[in-house]
Parts: sequence; C-alpha cells; structure tokens
Amino acid sequence: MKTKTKKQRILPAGWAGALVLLVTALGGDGATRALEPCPSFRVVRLTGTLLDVRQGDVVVPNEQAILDGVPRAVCVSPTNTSQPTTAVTVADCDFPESFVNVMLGP
Amino acid sequence: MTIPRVAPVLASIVLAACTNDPPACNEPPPLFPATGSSVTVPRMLVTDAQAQRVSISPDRQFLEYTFTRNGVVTTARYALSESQPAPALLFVMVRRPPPLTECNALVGRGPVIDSVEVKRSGVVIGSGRAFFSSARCGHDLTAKAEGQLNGPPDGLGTPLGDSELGWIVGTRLALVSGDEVVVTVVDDAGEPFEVYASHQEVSYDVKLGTLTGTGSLPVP
Repeated sequence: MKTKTKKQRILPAGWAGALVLLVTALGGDGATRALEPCPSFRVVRLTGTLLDVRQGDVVVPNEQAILDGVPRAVCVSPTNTSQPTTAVTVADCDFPESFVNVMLGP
Repeated sequence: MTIPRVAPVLASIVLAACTNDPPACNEPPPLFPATGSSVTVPRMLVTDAQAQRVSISPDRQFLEYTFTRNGVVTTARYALSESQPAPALLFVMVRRPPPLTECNALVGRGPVIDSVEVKRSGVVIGSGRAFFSSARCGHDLTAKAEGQLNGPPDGLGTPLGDSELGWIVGTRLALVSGDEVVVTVVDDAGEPFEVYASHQEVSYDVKLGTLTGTGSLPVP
C-alpha cells in the first residue's frame, strides 16, 4: 500500500486554506456591496444668497437686516430625502439650529 | 500532481465569485426641493418671527421669506444655486507665530491684550468673551480666559503669555467680508501675534494678518 509523504499531506491542506481565504475575500466583498442598495435619489441641496430685504416699499440695507437676524444665506433641502415630497427645510446656513419646515403648494 | 488537480476548481470558484457581484449602481435621479408657496410653518427661521411664509420660484432661482415681527412685515429675497455655502466664521483667534518656544519661556510675555472687537461699516458689532483655543500649555480647551480680555477696551489687559486665545464674534453673528477686526494692545513690547477668523473654537481657518500692537485687520 502506498503511503503519503509528509509533503504530500501538507500541500492539499495549504491549497484548501488558500481557497477558503480567497472565497471569503471575494464573497465578503460582494456581500458588503449587496447590503448597500443603490440610492434612489441624488438629493440636491440649494444655497440661497441674500439679495435684498424689504419692509413694505422700503428697502432695508442687507447689513442691518443681517444684524437684525435675517440669515445672510439659507440652506434649502427636501425634508424627506428618501422620496419626492412637498416638504422643504429652510435653514440659516450659519446657524442651522434655526430652520423652518414648510409644505409647499402651488 | 496536487496543483493541476486544484487549478480547475480554483478557476471555477473565482469565476463564480466574480459573476455573483451585484451590478454597479446607475446615476440616481436628482431629488430637488419642491417649489411653490408654504401653507404652514411650525418653527422659526428668525427669532420672534410670526406669520412666516416661504415661496420658491418654479425655476428654483429665487426664494422669498416673509415674516412679521413687532407688527412689521419683512420680505427677504434670496438667489438660489447648487453651490455649497461658505463656512460661517464665528470666532476671532489670536496666537503667536511659529515656531513656538517652550511654555515656561512664554509665561507673562506680551502682547498685553485689552480687547478684540469686530466692526461693520465702522460700527462695533461684537466684542465677545475670550476663551482658550489651545491646550498646548495645559490650558483647558474652550474654557473662559481672563475676564479682562472681554468686552470693549478699558485700558486693562492680560498678557498673551503661553496662551492661544479665541473670541466669539457675537450672539448669532458671523464675520462677513469687509468686517474689521480690531485688536487693542496696552503694552509696547512689540511682540508679534497672528490674528485669524475661524469656523470652530479650536481651528485657525482664515489668517487675517500679523500685528505687533494695536491694529485692525479686514476680513477678506
């Protein structure tokens, strides 16, 4: 009866180990990607730069209006970023804790 | 003989793994903010604002924000774009220029700073409280600094010493281009110091310039 040498026993074991590592690496990578679904939308956020401020027919200087708390820039984004919505968030870009959520209609 | 036997198996596994990759994502459609006029507004964009109303033009070029405060109706008009807003510069920072020497050698050294003020169109709009903006020499980061550094100039100062300092521009105030930062120094040691405008309490974002005594620097 033919007996296997030590080298003959180690080689298949080494190849099996390499295969396991390879499959784990490839499979693991694919699984990670599979868990991350493609985004439904590319959310577009807009920035508003203050043009002018009016009180009735009177134009208020922007500098004074900003000092009085009118945002010099507003950040505008859909309130719900996972599906189309009429809700919009308008925030003070400098102080985002100040914001309003508005439902826009025609 | 082992390698030839394993090779086809290996090739088939690699092929299977590769062909099981999920397809690449296509470019998703854009989700823009809606257009039209608001009908309800539960929060406030401006302090004490009432009867707020927002409208966005159908082409998303303009936004109008109307509110009433103290009986006065105010309308602010904005030009919309997809550009990112510039970070707000909320702090003025002062530190020595590099290279910095050992902390022990800096203790008590000037400049002796009295105040930091922000002027807009020549009018002081901010002279906030000072804080430590670096923990390099054992100071507590963002902890209040000497009270003499706060407020308008009063002839009393504190040596910069081994500190790096920051001042809050003001309550809900950010620096804008054209503002002036005025640093008042009450000694004549002529020690140079750098002045910055910053977005955060521990960052040095926009260098306004280097002074060696009382002086003012414009915000670019």
